[in-house]
Amino acid sequence: MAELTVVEAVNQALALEMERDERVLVFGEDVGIIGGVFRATDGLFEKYGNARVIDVPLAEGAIAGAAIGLALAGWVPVAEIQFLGFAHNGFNQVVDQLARVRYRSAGRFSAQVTIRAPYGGGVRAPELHSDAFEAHFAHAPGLKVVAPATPDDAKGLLLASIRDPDPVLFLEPLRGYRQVKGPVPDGDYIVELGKARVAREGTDVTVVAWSAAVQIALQAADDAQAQGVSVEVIDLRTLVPLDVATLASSVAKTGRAVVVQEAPLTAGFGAEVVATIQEESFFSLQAPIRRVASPDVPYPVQMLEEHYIPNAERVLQAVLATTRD
Amino acid sequence: MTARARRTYRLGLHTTADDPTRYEPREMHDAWVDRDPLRRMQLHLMSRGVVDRPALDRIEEEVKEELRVAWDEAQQEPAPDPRFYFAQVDGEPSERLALQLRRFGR
Repeated sequence: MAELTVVEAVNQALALEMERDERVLVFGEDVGIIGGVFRATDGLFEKYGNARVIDVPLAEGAIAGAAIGLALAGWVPVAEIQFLGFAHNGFNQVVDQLARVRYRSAGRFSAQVTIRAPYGGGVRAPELHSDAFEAHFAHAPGLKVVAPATPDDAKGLLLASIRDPDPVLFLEPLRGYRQVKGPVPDGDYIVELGKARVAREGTDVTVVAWSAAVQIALQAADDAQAQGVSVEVIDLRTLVPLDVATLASSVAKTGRAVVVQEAPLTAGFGAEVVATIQEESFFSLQAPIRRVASPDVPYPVQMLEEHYIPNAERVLQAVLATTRD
Repeated sequence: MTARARRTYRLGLHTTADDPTRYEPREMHDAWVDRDPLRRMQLHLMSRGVVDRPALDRIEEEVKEELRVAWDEAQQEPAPDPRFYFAQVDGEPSERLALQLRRFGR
């Protein structure tokens, strides 16, 4: 058990799986010689060479499209999109093509593809490098969307994603890459896709978050505890498929929920979570479910981003407000 | 490995609502009709005396009838079992999808 950052855990999972499975190919912009702009693929090029760790031109459509063809030919592609905001250049290949390989072939083929992308703000990067666009992809049938918050989940979920027979969009918390450290088991293990995690137990209010926002939720939970409010934090870990049972059992206990998302409010994945809780747990609810999100404006310049994305204070205020509803 | 680039041209309508006379110059259309490989093969076979026009017309009628019959047969097919479609989304359908299937069509 070593103490690793999120990006180190990602790197360890990639190295482990390349060693274990010769079909695994890693490719993307700058993933080879440089080792990735965030060093997520550090050391892989030196160890496995340019036949399995491939620097590709700046063309996300080609990255995703090549992943489809390689998967159909029997390889296991793990492609990197440098920032999730760039994935829209390959949106057709990911959402309209990759996600539907199994469906279009009536089950004869599946695309065992993992697309990794860091995402989210708070690192003083410009728009498109900071946007939380997960909802765009969560809406595509056939595509799993995974968004870990911690190093041990990052490793276990990435290994599960690469081994999943169907395409997975693996979203890495950009802000947590180096800020979040934690113990990571040394060897091979997986964290099952589609299972949320109770990041902190509590009795009064359920706070639902994923990716980097989990740290915000935990901070707010500490602050609420100081004011006598016990907060349970659910880290979704996987957005698609959504772990409905864990949400429902938590809300059955607390009767109150706050959903935190870094993306702008309207039509965000938080709305899906709110709707699901309402469907499953309406009669457990003692108050309306509240959302904490970014405003419906594009990602701002860095001087404003601390006010733009949810922070612990805004989550705390929503938690306290829901106890008064 | 060999890469080939081929230029093609759609002679027919895109949909029954399409009206190519609004955007397609007549001369352009006619030029491509002359290059239609099916038509060129017909002319070639006739010039060689392999077939004559009545024989080609007969073949065309037979094919049209074959398509008509196939179309009618396809229209008689019952709607496919929705379970088949739901099963092609993921290798292992999620609980969420299983629930949606149980509610489908009800």
